[in-house]
Amino acid sequence: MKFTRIITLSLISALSIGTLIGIAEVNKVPVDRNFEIEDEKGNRDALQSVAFENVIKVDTNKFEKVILTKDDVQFKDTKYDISHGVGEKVLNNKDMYRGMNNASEYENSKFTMIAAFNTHFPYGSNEAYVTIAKKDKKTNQLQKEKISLPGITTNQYIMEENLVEHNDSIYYSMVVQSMSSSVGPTLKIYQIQSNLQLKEVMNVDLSLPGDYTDVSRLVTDGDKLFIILSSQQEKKLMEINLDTNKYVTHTLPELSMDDSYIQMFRVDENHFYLNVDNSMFVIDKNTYKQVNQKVMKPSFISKYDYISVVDQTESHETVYVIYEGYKNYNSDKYVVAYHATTGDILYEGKLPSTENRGVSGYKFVNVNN
Amino acid sequence: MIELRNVTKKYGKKIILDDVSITFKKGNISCLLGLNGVGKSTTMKSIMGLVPISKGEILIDGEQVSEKNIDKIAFLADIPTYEMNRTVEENLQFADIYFDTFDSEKADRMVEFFKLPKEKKLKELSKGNLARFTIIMGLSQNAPYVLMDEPFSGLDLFSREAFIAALKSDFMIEGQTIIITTHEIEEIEGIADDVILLEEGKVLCTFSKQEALAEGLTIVDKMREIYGGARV
Amino acid sequence: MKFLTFVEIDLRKIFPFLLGMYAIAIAGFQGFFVKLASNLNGQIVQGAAESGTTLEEYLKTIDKISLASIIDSNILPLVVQIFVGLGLILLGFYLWYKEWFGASKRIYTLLSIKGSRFRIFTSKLVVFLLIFVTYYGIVLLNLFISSFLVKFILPEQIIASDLVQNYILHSQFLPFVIPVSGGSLLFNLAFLIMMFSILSVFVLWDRSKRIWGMIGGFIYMGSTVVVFFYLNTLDLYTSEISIVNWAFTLCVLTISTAFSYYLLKKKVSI
Repeated sequence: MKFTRIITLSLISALSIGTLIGIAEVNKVPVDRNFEIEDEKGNRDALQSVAFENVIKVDTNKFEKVILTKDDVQFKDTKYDISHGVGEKVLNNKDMYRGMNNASEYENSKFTMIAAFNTHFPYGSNEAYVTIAKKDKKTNQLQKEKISLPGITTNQYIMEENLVEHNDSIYYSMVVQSMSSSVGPTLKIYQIQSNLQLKEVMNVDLSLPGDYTDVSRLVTDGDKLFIILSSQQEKKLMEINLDTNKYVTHTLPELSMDDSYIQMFRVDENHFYLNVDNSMFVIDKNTYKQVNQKVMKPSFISKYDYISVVDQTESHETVYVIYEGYKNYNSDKYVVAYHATTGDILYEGKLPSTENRGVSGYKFVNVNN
Repeated sequence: MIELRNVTKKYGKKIILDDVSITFKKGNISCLLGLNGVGKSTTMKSIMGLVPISKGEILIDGEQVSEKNIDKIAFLADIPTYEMNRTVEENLQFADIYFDTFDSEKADRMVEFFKLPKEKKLKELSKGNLARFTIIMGLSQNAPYVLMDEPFSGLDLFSREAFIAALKSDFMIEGQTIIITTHEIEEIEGIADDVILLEEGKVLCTFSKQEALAEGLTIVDKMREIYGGARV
Repeated sequence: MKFLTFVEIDLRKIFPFLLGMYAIAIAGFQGFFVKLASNLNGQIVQGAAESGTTLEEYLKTIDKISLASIIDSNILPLVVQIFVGLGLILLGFYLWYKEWFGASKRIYTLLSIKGSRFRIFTSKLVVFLLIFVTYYGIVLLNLFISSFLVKFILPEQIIASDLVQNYILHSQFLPFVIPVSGGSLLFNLAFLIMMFSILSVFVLWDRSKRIWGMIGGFIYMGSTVVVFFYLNTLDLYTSEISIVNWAFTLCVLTISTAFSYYLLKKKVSI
């Protein structure tokens, strides 16, 4: 009896396992730790006040956080879950975040609270409920409740969610959009009771005249909520006051009318920041007037088919934006620093590629200078 | 000696063997006779452990048949159980590996005796030659007990004669016990020592050739008598 | 020797089919890969033309191309491998099926041989594992061939280094096809043994109790699939799901193997 096939397949199997172990375990290629911003335009010193963070995979199930500044890079061990796209914060509080990885968050010195509407609604599940979780920072005690919201039907979907504190109460806000074009979006605000049950306090129609109203992110500033409503005809800033349960709309300066989609919307102590059609605008919080004299646009727009804003921050009269440009097979990340008032580009640089190493996108991290 | 003690075999509610007790004597050629579906094949498969019995016990030389002593029996099924896509020679090589007691030299002698084409695949053999190959496989195992399930089925006259000749030849080992199931009564007239008649899962009657001869009957006559037919 | 003969005979039966499956795996993978790489090359040339610079200059401005940037952007080459993998699972079923329903009822001979009947199970398991470990080799071979072919399709200076190693560490989709670490290799082997044991329960139960056995086998096989998918739909994080999957695999493997052992020893009827 000749065992030619056993011998053949055993040899191939041994070779296969050997090669697999050889490549995957023994003969690994070290991860490229060369991270350097490539200058495209202006003076790199403009990046003095910012740092960038992303996560790279350095081994099977081993990740490091990369902190990149204008002339330095640091690596720190971190936890990351690729399939859920979540990092340390979630993985250190799995009990709280389970099933609601991208929940809205609110944190104070006493507790952390998160809230998320049923993520499978309306296609994967027809149950309209929100899950609210609260973790006491001292005792680590977790409260988690699933609360039904009867007014929401399966021809609606949830666009925005937010948690904000006002007068020692936490408010959960959500923007509900209808699938029917004749019905506009609605903002619903609920007060969260101590037993995590919800009490509806406001129900605001966000429709603008016209066919369709799009909404920006819902942002909070103190005890106020802000949202931009946009249609083909106009863009309005809505301010909702939780103290009075009243809202007002403000007319915004004439922004791009070609695109109703607000890519990015932020607020800080003095300004609103928004991005429409690749253009960044800084709006004064008191006067609602445009602060930047010139529209802030990166110079590399023409090189790409599509540009998106990934993150934005500001410091010392400088507005920083991380962009991602897409063309065919390729995507590149850039950082651009604009002068907040003049709108001039102070610096443009290409962020190091994360191909074959990165697992998360770049975002800004705080630096204390 | 192979003994079946109060063996019952059920398939669901259907009783195939009903409290059957049979003793197959060592060194004899015993024939299990009966119409189709009376439980002949089930008896053979039960002895081999190919069909688990519902009740009773089966002993070989006083021990329960198990994976340890199963090589005391060679089983020739009524269907091909070999590698049909392999040649006669390759199948004999496999048998040499499978069966600890397989006598390759005897198998070669039998192949020559039966003039079997060694290089032919089993699926290319005629029915007669396939039957001859089967008996080679059965007798070359040198097992003290050989079970043959319907060995004459589908064989022409010459093949049957060759088959019977082999059972009378020196290819048999001394004291070898043969158990044959068949419904071809005439074929076993010349070789059977004992006859067991099965009917509807029960033993209808057991007699030996000598008992029949003492009554001046052949096996066939004796059977006709049992079944209420006229003497020839 | 008997055991090796069991294995060799089963390998002989499936060898032509196995070679065919591997040939499909290689041809399918390379066909799609070459197509994807050629498309990418076309886009690079177009990008260079649109940029107004020379190709050489343009290449300096774009990221290096790795296997991940070609295969993970369009996973058709891996889809072919997955289909071949599914075909190989069916081949495992065929190994049993052939014994009872093939032209020759070889199972009569196998069950009549002195020694443990469980060898029939283990010999087929060895064949099943050999089929899959060899399949892993075929997928790896595909990666090596692709890393070689890509040099003829794309400009050399744009190709990243250590293509295969990097793809194994960084691909999002390859782990669905082959194990990409020592740990996942162990899990994969345990999972394969479990799958084979479940298939065996189905076949052996069917051969023990016919209709009721077949229904029981279907329910058993179906329920393990349902439980597995249910566990994987739970909101568990990767570290947790790997523990759950290990526990499930070892548990089902033990039950199925023990059940197969019992059926083969005590219940199988032909």
